[in-house]
Amino acid sequence: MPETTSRLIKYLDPDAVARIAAVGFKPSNRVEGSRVGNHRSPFHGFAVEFAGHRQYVPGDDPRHIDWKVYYKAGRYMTKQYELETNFVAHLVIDVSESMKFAYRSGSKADYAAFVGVALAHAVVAQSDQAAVTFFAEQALETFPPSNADEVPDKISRYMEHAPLKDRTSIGSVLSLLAERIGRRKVVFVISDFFGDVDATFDGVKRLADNKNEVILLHLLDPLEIDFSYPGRVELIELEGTRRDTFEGRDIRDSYNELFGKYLERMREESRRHQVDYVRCSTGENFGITLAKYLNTRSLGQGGRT
Amino acid sequence: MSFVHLAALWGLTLLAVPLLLLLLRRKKLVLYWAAYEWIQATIVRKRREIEIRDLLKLISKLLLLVAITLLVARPYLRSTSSRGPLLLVVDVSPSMGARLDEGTRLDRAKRLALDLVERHEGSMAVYSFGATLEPVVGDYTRDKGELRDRIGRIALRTSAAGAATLVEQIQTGTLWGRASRIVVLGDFQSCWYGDGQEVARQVSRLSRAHPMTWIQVDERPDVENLLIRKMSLSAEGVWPGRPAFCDVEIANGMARDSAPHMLSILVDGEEVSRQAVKLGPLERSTVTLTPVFRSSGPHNVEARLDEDALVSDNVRYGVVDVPRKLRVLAVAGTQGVAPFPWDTYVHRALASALPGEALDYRSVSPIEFATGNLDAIDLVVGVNVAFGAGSPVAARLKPFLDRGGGAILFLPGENFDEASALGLHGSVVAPRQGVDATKLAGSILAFMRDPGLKAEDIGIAQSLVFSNALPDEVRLCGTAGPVVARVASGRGAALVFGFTPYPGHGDFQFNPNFVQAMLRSVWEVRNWEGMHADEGVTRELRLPDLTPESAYTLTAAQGGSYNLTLDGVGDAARLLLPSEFPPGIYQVLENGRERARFGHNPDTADSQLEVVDVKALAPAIQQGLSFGGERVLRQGSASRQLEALAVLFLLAALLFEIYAHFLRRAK
Repeated sequence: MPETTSRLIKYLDPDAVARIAAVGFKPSNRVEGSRVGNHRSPFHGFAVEFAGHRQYVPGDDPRHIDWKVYYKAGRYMTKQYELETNFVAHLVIDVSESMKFAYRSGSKADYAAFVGVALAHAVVAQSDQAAVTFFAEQALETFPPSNADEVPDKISRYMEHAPLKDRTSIGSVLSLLAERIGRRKVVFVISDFFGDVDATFDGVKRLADNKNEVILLHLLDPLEIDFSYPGRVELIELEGTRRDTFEGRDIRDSYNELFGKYLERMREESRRHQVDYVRCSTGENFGITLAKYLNTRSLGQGGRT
Repeated sequence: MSFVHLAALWGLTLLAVPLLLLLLRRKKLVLYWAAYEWIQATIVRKRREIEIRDLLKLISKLLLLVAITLLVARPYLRSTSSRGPLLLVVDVSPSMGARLDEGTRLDRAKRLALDLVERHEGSMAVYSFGATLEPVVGDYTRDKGELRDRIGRIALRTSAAGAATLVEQIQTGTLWGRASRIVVLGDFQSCWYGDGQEVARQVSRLSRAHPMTWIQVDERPDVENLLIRKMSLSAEGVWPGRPAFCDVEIANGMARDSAPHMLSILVDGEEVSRQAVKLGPLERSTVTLTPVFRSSGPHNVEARLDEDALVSDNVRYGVVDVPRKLRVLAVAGTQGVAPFPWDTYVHRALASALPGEALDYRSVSPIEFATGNLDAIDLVVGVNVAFGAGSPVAARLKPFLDRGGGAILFLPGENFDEASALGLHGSVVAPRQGVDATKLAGSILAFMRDPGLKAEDIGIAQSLVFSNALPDEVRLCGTAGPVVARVASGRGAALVFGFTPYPGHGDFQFNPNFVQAMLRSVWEVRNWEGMHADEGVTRELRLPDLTPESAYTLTAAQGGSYNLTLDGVGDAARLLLPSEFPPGIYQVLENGRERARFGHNPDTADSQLEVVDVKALAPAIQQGLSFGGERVLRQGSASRQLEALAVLFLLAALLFEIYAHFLRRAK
């Protein structure tokens, strides 16, 4: 069995891939691609789909002059057509130390790997391009846009040996990414978003300002969402040196309240910046979660839930 | 504050062990946590609440530990705030005379009582208890001067009763109902409270509102005490100048080996015999000493042990009335075939058995005997004097025996005419018909005290057993078939049947040991009381010819006298002795003339000075009795308050734990 295949088996969930492929991913906005594809481009060109007229200026190809308009209006107008292109999906995957966390279900890093591989596979399968950026405090590894089948393999290979260290500094990473990828791209940010919310959304804003379609996949462990462990527990900070011991029942209510406010703020900020926000619990099947999200998008209700 | 069981505080360390194990073994989940920012924010917010609750939990655990420790260690306050009426009882039984480093147990009890008087702010009543509860300060008073004065005059009694009696008598009285506290100062030997069950029953009848405290004034575990239980003379009789056999029964009052002690006999205050003694744990033993009484008449006799912890039971008093002379009348009967110098033999035998000056020997014929006066005769020795009922000899001899005279009769035949004539009814039985020959031979050997006599020399032919004699009191001896019967008839007669002394038959029958044995037998039959002594519980005295016209007094040799009351008339007349009077030698005087003399002895019922068995007192303690040394004296109700406090602590801690448990579950 080829090596690639064996790696794919680890992080490629056929069931999830099948679910995503059945729905497919179509960008909500116009995208700029480098090749001809199936998605609407902001650029006009000469294709099948009529888009409108514009005043003829010297230098335009006279073949595109609409003579019928000339006869009626006495002006030289050229026909405009929609340009269809492919899109580039940037998968921004958090590999900071906090992604190690796991309690009963798999770690968030594993979950991110599964999600990344499935999305890359889906994107590449529909002849679009996928680019990948792994980051922690800064971008650690970047795979350029490619529609090759090896992209999922690369993700899998990297995630298998990801260092999972350092703090998350998602805001600066997204800001740099915004500068680098240009406009009208699809950006999947797969992270637990443990960091400064304002900084995070500064980066998100930069991406959104460039008309990039940003989808935030917020990975959380069920225990992080609802601290339901009642007994004595010692917590050791993953991205720091702090540690505390207490009775779970003593802090449960207060923690859930504070963390709920944080989640609510994440949702509110996402809505405000008009980006999609998808909360993924590592206790749930990510294929179902993604398929559900994609279905919602395709029904035109928007993904900003 | 102090503790009844101070050592119990070490129990805290043991209590810490399970607690420590609990803490160390407690499971906790260790998680490397990503969302620490919110955990930290939560902890910051909840820190105070958690700290307070942890503090409360810690306090509850400490309360639990303190409560358990208090319950076990039983703390008490040296409180002087007791204001309620206090009933104080001081043990004055003889054992309270046991010596301490300074004074006696009673002295110490009195010191504690005086201390209590000084500290107690309420009223007090004081009683002493020997055999009965006697008022010292009969009613509750706050007059500390009177209390001190009366307590200072408390003296030992000569008799004792048990703890159950004390509690019963307290309840019978009217004072205890007002008492907020009853304190008994004593030594509390086990013989005082027995197995403790009865005490527990009695204490349970006292209300909890009248708590009783026993204060042990002497907690030494190793008190040395030998005691004399009884002194008596053996039945050989006592003759001037001749060693007497004085049996002294001694006992070890402790459950361990005694040290060597010296036991002495004093006659009229002068030591005449002594012997070293040493006893095992609680052992009793009879020691025979051989004092010599140099003259006839009454002699004061004391048996003394050298001093130990309790001196009152180291002495035993008695009076020995030494006969002036043994007045013997020998009667010669029919001579045998050959003339026999029986008179010589009898005299020689008696003379060897008695000192010369103690024998007044005279021999007469049967005719002279029949007409003579026996008033001045102690013993009649008859040889071959045959008589029957209604004969002049029998008419003389029977009243003589009835008034206590002694007789040794060597009878010629084997019929019982002589016995019948004297009112002795019996029959002859063979040795195998109820007489143990071996036992009999051993008894004869002991009886004869003749080193030359061997068991095989004793041939037992037959035995004469009288209807009122016990089989083992019939002693037979002889090598040629004579039958000797000692008659235990309550009359002073020794009859020797089937024997006619004649030459060639041996002079065994006139062996001095044999004659002395006969004498002893006569004396035993007469139930001779050589030692005039009582057991410390004498309440009345019977003497002949007591008349109401006379004044009777009891006078102690060491000083002091008591007027005696005559109760009853005629043969039922008796002198009533005081309920308690000190041990010693006492004379009973009738109009100033001595009528009797006897030794009055201490009661040794509570002389076992062994360590108190607290286990035996456990049932009483469960019923509310407080028991302990001096430190418990200050405990009283304060201890109960602290115990109640401990119980409250315990309940509070448990309630808190239960509350916290449900609170956690509710969350």
